[in-house]
Amino acid sequence: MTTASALIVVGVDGTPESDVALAFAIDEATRCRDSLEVVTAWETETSLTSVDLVYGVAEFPTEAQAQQQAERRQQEALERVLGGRPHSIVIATQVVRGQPGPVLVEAARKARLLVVGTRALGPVRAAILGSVSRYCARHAEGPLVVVPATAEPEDYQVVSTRE
Amino acid sequence: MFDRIVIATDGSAHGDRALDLARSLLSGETARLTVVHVTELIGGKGGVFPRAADEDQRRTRIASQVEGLQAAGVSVEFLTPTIRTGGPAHEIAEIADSLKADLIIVGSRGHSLFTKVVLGSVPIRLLQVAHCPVLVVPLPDEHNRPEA
Repeated sequence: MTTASALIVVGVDGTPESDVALAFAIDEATRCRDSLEVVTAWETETSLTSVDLVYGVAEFPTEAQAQQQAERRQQEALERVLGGRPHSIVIATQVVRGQPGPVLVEAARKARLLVVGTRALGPVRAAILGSVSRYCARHAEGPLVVVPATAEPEDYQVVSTRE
Repeated sequence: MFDRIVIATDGSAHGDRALDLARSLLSGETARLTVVHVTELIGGKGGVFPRAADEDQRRTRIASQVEGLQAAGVSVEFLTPTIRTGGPAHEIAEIADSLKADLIIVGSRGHSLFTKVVLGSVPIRLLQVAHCPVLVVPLPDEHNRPEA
C-alpha cells in the first residue's frame, strides 16, 4: 500500500482545528515517509465577512492580496505546527482560489489520504460538522481522515525518522 | 501508521475494503486492530430481533475475516456489541475511547436501505461524536457517485 511516492494531502486554513489536522498529517507522512501537500483554498467572498472589513479598517482585498493572505496563513500554520523542529518529509504547498471542499477533493485525487480538521466542538457538536469535512466525506474519491479538534495535538509530535 | 485501530464494519463488501485498508495502516508488531460489529436490535410484537435479517451470516463472515487476519499474524480482536436501535456510532466511539484508539476506520456507506444516501448515517454520526481521527473509506469506483 505504502509506496515511495505516496502522497498525503491536508487542508489548512490557519484555524486551530486545521493545525491539529496538519499535525496529524505531518506525523503520518513522517512515519510512512510519504510526501505531504498542504492545500489552502481562498475565496474573496469569505474575506467580505472578516472583522477588519466590518469595522472598516481594511480595504476590500484584491485577488492578489487575498492570495497573499492565504499564502501567509498557510506558512504561519506550518511554522506553528513544525515549531522549528527538524523534519524529514517533502512538503509541497498549494494555494488555490475556490471553495475549500471542492479544492481539497480535487487536490486529493491521487493521494493516499486526504486529511481535514473539523470544528465540531462543545455541546452543539452533535448538530454540526464542519462543512468542509462533510463535503469531503461525501465527495472524496479516496480515504479521508477527519481529525476532531479535540484530538490531542501532542499525540502528533513531529518525529524525525532520520538523523 | 497507527498502533491502535478500531474498525467498524457491517459485514458488507464495502466493509471488506475498509478492513484491507486497516491492515495496511497498522504500524508494526505491537500494533493492534479491533474489529467492531454492532448488532442493532429492534423490538416487535414477536420479540426482539436484529435489525439486519442476515445478521448471522454477516457476523460469521466477519469472524472468518478476523481469523484470516490472525492467521496472517495480525494482532486482532473481534467485538460484537449488541444495542437497541439508535446508536452504533456512539457505541463505536465509546469503544475507541476505552481502547485509546488512535484511529477509527469506517466505510462511507454499508448496507443502506436508501441507496441515494451518499454518506451513511453511522459514518456521519461518528464524525460528530468521535474523539479521535476518523478515516472514512469511500465506495469502490464502480459505484456511481452523484455529482456535486
